[in-house]
Amino acid sequence: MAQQQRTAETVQRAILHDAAHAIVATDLTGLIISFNPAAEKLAGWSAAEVVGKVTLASFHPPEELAAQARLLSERLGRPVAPGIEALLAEARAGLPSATEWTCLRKDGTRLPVLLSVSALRDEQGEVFGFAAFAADITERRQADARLQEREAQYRLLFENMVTAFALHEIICDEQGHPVDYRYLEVNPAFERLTGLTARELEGKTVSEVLPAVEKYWIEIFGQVALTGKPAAYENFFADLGQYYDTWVFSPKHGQFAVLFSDVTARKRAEESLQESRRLYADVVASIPLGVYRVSARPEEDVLEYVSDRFCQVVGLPRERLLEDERVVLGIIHPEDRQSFLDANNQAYDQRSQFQWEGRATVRGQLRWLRFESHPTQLPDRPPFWTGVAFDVTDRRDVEEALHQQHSLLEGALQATADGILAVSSEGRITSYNRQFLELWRVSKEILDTHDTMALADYILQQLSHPAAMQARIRNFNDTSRADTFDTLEFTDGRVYERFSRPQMVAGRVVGRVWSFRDVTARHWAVASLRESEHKFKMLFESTNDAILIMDEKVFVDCNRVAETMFACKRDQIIGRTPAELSPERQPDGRLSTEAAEKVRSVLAGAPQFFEWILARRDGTLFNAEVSLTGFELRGQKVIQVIIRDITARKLAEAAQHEAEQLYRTLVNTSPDGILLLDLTGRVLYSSPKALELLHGSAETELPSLPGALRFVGRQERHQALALFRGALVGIFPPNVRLLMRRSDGHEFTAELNGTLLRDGLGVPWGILVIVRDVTDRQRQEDELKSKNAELERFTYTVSHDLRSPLITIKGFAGALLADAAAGRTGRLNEDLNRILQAADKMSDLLNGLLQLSRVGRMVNPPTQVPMNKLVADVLELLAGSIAQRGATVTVQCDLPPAYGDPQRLQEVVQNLIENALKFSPPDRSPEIEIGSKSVGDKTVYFVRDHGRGIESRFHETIFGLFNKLDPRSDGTGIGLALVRRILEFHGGSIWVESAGAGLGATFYFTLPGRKALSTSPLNG
Amino acid sequence: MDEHTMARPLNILLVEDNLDHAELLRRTLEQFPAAKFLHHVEDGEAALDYIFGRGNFRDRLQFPSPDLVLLDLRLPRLDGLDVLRHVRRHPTCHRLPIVVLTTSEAERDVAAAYEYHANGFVSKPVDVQRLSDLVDGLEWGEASDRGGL
Repeated sequence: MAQQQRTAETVQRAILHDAAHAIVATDLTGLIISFNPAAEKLAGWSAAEVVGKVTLASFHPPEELAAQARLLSERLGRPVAPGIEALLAEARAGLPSATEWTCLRKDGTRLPVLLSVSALRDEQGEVFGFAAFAADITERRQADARLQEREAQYRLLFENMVTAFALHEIICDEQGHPVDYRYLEVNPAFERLTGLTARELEGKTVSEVLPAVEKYWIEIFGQVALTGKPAAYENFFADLGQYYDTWVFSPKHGQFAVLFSDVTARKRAEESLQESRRLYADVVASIPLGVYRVSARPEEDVLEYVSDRFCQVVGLPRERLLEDERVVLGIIHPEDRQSFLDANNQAYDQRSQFQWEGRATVRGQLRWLRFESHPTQLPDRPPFWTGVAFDVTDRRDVEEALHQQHSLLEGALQATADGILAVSSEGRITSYNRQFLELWRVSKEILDTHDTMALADYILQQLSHPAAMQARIRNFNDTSRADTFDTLEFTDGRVYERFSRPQMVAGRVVGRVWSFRDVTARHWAVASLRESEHKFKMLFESTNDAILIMDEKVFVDCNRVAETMFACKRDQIIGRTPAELSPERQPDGRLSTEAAEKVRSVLAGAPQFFEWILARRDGTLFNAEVSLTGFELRGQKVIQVIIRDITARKLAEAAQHEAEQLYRTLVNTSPDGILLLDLTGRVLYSSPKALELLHGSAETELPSLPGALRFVGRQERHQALALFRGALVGIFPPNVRLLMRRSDGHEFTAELNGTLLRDGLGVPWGILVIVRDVTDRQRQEDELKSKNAELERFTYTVSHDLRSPLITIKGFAGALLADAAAGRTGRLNEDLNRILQAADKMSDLLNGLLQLSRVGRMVNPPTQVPMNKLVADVLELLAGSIAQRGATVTVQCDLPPAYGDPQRLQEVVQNLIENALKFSPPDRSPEIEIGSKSVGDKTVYFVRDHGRGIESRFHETIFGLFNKLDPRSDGTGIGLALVRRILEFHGGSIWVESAGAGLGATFYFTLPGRKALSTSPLNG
Repeated sequence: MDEHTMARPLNILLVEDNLDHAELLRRTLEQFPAAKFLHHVEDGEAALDYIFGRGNFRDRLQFPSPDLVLLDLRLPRLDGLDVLRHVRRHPTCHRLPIVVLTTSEAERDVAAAYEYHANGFVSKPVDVQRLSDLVDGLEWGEASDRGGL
């Protein structure tokens, strides 16, 4: 028993000592009698400090004690004193107490504790003390606080979470099958989701509020609530158009909570992602590149992903590739492996792009593969490269081919004679050959500048028409797709052909290639040829003549004019013979088929030119001029036939011929001479009449073209020249009188009418002069003029001279009257005699007038008159007067015969001799000489005396009518006037020469011969 | 006839080739008191000789200088117009009054007379009144050329 007691004490002590809780024993008053270490720890007092010293209440704040006391007072129904009693009251009463108190510790801090006080009872059941157990409930409090906090947080979350939450309890039937459930708690999100408020839901069953919910849901929820196994699924609420993740779990048996998450967005994103993934997969599948991703680890690389294409490209199955990426290396050509590895290592070391191209054996074939990948570095992951792999065999082949071609081209480029220049679209010179440099005399330096503009300028300078080519030269980098072709002409005569075409790569213009060729020689040759051909063609078509080509038999070609001329189409001419285009016979009677002869002549080398009648298609004929020339055309002998329709010309010719005939007739029969002078005055043509006028006979042969001035005398030259000059400017006064001279010297008065001749263009080319011999008319006019003058003088003289005696008569008659009136008779006889004398005078005058007038009438017809006989007759007649004066008359014995009216001529001689006798010298016997002499081709007769002579001033007046030298002499004074008249009538003239008074006088007179007489008025 | 001319008789020179006409004129002048002295020449030469006082008429006492000349146009040896001309040209006597005698009033004669500066003309047979008027008309002692108008 003691052992048991000791054990029990040890146990007690152990318990007290090691107990986690503070255990404090008190006596009935509450005085602490035991204080375990836990209590020490709790309160901060050591046991020694408190045992037997303080009560339990000292560890608690008084206000708590007071509050508890009040509380207990109420509960116990009796007043409880604040203080220790508050702690002990319940225990004393035997009631369990567990109360939370604040413990005041030694260091002043406070601790929440849970105090549980129980009464200690002895064996009698009498309370002898109390035991208080105190637990630090700080943690618990904290936990509670935390719990509360959590609770609050939870509440917060609950209220604010987006996820709809609803807590339910399942309702089962008797069998325990879920048939319904009740809403216990719903959060606002749930409210929003369902559109029902918490109030409407909480406490209600689903069948009440959402009867539409399907039964199987209830089953499912029931399962969760009963089994505790959560479930998750998706819901699509069609009416909301939204997706929800539903999470059902059971927090407690019989309860289930549902969480709805709106995953619409996520769903959509997922769908997009799916879509993207699909697309991506499609892309990956469709791109010709193999896509791969390799993760680079220190020891090895791992292919994490390879697209189908990739597998295809490398010709390895996916499984193998993913399993061991080194299989890739395996397919690579041994020679290229090293480069692959090097590239790989470099990329890995530098975390840079991986790029490699090389040969590989793919499905047994040698291919060129290319790998390109880029690194991506993610944290916590080894870097990986994502890239593409593709088969570049074709490209390589192309490149190889290209290279070959290039070298081929290069070779060709250098070997060709043409100059080549390649320019990229951007204008850079990409290629050229030596010949280009040479052709353009371009130095390598200019080309090396790659400056196409400089090059263009350099080239332009050399051209002959830089402006024209400028635009085209400058577009060296023309990017159009057209081929261009130009001919460039240089100032120094070179001609280049320039050809360019676009440089295309894959259907796209990347530049332009120019080629130049020196075609100088060829150009000029072609140009010449072309010109000739062109000329020929031009001629062929544009000429107004018909041109036909024929071989030795038929026509093979003709121009349009030929068609028109023959009024038919070309094909109706081709194939025909010339004879078929002609009438049967030609005007000269020859058959038209003989044309073949001409053809033969031409072919033999003799060109033919002839007139021919041709027939049109309709049968009408026309005159033509035909010329045949043989030549070679493309190696064949052909004949060029040129036909000119001369119908019109023929008609014109005929008309002209007629006109000429008419003209000739006119000219030949015109009574006027017609002269044609050139503009220098030379006589181009003289009509027969003109010849007669100017040369004396119409049959004169003109040795040379004489100048017209030859036909005028020196004095008339001035006038003639003035006329001529006027004529040159188109001025020719009508009916100009000009004294002209025949080539034999004979002068005649010409009346000229002239006109300046102009050709079709109005250019003067000659002067036409019509010459009319108006000598006779001139003479007649002169005569008429002189006669008129004479008549006037005559009238004047007559009136005057007749008036004179009249005045005498009148005067003396008046005087007589006056005297008679005055009775004077002394002068009667004298005056009357004067009157009678005056009357006689008048009578004589009138008789003389009559005589004079008779001279105008020819009494006898003109005949040859032997002058010697005539003179002898006159001397006989005047024998008396001669003897009376004792005059001596000497007569030349060989007086040439005259031609005229013998009687009149006799009167002349008689008058002259009578005058000579009258004007005899005062102191001696008159001596009269009658003779003749030749002057030129004329005969001049004279009657000379040595009498009183005549002063020179009277040499003309004496021939005037009624002029008497000596008024007192006999005669009427008309003698000499009469003589002159008669002589003039005969075509002669008379004049006197006298040295002066007292020196005698000689009267000269001329009598032209027969010929002159014939043209004198005597004849008509 | 003013007083001045009445002072002494006019010396009139008659130039006329027709003797009958001369006689007629002489008789006419007998009725003309102013003409006291009359000399008659028969041709132009003589007329000039007289007017200039030369040749046969050098003696001015016997042949005084004429105050008036009656001049027939138609004269032998020197035409009346020539006489006129000569006289008019001569400085000493170009003012000498000369009256032209004419058988007609032909315009030609009249015009010619005046052209040659005759002082007037009168047609034969001379009417004494006409002559008187003419002489009166002449302005004696003063320079006057009527001719040519």
